[in-house]
Amino acid sequence: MIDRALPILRLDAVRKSWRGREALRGISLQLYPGEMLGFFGPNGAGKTTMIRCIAGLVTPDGGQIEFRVPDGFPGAKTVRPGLVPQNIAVYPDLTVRQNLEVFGRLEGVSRQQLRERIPEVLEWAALTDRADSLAKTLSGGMQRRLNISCSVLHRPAVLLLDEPTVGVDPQSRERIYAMMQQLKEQGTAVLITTHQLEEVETRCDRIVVIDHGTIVAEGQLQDLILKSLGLPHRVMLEFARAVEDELPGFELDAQRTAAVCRMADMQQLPAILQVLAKLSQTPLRIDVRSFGLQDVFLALTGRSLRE
Amino acid sequence: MMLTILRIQFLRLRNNPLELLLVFVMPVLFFSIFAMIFSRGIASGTEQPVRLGLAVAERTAAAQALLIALEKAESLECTELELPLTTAGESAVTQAVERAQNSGRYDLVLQLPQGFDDSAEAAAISGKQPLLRVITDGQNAMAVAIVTSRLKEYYARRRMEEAAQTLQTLVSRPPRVAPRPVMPARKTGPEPATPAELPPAFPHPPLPDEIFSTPPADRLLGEPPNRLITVWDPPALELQLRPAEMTNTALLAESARSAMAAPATAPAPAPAPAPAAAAPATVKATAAEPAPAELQSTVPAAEAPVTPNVAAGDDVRIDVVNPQADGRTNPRIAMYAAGIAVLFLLFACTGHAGTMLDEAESGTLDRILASHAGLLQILGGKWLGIFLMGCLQLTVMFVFADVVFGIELRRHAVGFAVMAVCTSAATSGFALLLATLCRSRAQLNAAATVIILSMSAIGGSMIPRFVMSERMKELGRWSFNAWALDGFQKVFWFRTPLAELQTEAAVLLGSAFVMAVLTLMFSGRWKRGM
Repeated sequence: MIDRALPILRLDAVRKSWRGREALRGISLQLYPGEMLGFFGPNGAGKTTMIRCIAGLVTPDGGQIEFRVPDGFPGAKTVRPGLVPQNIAVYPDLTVRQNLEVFGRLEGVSRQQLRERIPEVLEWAALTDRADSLAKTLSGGMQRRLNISCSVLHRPAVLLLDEPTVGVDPQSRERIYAMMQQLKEQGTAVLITTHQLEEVETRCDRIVVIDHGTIVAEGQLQDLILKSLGLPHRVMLEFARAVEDELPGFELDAQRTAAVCRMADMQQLPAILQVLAKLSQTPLRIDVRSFGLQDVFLALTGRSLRE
Repeated sequence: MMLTILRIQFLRLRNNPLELLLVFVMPVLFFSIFAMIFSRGIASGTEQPVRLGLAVAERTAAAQALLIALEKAESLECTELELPLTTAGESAVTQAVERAQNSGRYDLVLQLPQGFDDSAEAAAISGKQPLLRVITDGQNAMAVAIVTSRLKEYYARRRMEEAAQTLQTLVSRPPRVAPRPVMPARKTGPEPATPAELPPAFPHPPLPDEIFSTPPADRLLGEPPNRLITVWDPPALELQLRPAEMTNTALLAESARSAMAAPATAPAPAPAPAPAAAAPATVKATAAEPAPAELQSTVPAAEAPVTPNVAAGDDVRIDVVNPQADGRTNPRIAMYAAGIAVLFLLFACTGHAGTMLDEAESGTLDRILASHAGLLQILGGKWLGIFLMGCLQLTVMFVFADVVFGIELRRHAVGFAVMAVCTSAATSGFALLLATLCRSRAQLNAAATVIILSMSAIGGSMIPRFVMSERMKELGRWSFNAWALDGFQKVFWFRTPLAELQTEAAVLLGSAFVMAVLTLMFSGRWKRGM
């Protein structure tokens, strides 16, 4: 039984600068066994630097990064995480099996262990039929699965995935998340950086938003919405001319042509809409929506481009 | 639409400095390199003199006269060798001469044997026996042609002088002897003997500066073309002398004509071109001595086994000896194999080192760096792979050259192995350093093209180093090619002992070490992902 109460990865005030420019300004977070953490932010926010620090590719200027493999974890006792780069980081002119062999050996897995492990991983990634095909002959989705497979041969306690579903069809995406789910069930902590907000909303247990090298929000989606936007649902009315009537519960803009009402629960909607019956003019448009991660993201990081 | 396509090409070219470098700078750079080689090496009006080592076993008057004449020639740069005492034996002298030739300091060594006196000269002039030995390493066929032509020139003039003396005797008119000029100072060696000390070999003492009123150097080797010399008063007999101040190119052409006029396979003696053919046939000195045809064709043929071969001039027999060519059919092929092999080795190594950049771009390198393997292990593994591939490539090249062209690889296997290892180590280090310094594969390809072709041009992979000026040779030593080629040349051409490869091996291995250190210094970029 895995102890999921203690963090498997802990970052404490991690700082890193590149030529005087601060990429990370004291990042602190925890990752727990069996947790999938969505990590996202604008371009240049510091995501890649943080991933590279966790992967051991870059040494932080300050702070601490600690791994603790939980008791009862079925995988390797090594603290080294598995890294899945954004690009297809396999050798295209090697077969699927050969790629698994070489990357398994690089991860320190013995030949004997690999003889057992490779068939397992091939089955896990649904690549058994293509085991002897050259990697370059695989479809995009297969290559993505192989890309992930090469990083789990040593059963890492932490798996770092950088945009793992870019350019794949919905079926492959589902398969990839099914693979992630299996790893979670085994106790592996998964950290995903992605711009696929829908995936983060629906797949991740927790979300971390980073901007300008600092964590600007952390938690589950509803928590983030409450913290950044307040109530999670919104009704907006637009009128052709200024409204003279009072609109209880709504906030009117300066021209009195638009009114907004926030709701904690959708069940409040019928009561709110009863206001419309008493109005002297009919609204041009009624917009009812629930806030999502994009709203949180824009609320936290602004709308200016970050290129 | 075509204009748009054209504009796209223009914009891409303009925005790509490496492309601009390859398109516009590389041709100029190469032109400059080759211009430097050819303007200060071969085929120019101010060609470098042939470096002639002089091995004089006995300083007779005849030897002294010949040396003076040779040293006056602007096309020759004469240096007298220090030889062991004659008591050491002939083989010791021969070995010393061959060592001097193998040292690379001389294009040729001219050996004047013991007893080189007028009687020996007379016998040689008659073509009965070889008189002089020219020792070559077979690299510089032009030097052989130039020196043998100069020697033939010298003896042709000696024959003319003899004829003049004979004619003067016939008409009972003493020759008009010009005041003897002061003997010019020698560059090397002891002072020449005085006329009183000289043994009589010709009807009149044969000191060249006593015969005609022109200065000796002009008369023997430096006379203006087509000078007419009146030997006595009426009835005047005019001898049209052969143009003495011919350029090396002209002498080469003449040698070639001689060779063509007398094919090597011709069994019958062929008349050699007589420099004084206009003179009466009854005059001994002006009658062209028939020379064996097989001898005339051997002077410039460095590839052929010419040990001992004899170059027959118009009037004197000269041995042209190439100790390196002994028993081998194509000794020079090994040098070509080395030149081409090193050039392609550099490209192949750079290409393999470029896989680091491919892996960095694809993220594979990050995956490896995040694994058990450290950066040192990755670089070490890469270097080892490139190194082994380089050794294999060189081996394939030389095995092929051995099977097809017979370069005797097995005979020089150890030396080859040493040079292959050293060369491959250096090129591997160079390739890995270059890949570490470049930011992309495209940048690496462009940089490799510029650097490797430049190194190959100045280092001897494209043009043999022996035709380069000393300055170009020195410049070439900044390239791997030059050191590698010098080493392979020592192994396959000079057959030097293994210990004598230490300079080349030390430079190449030292370069490999320095570049490995530099690669490690700059290798942090791989981890930064930049």
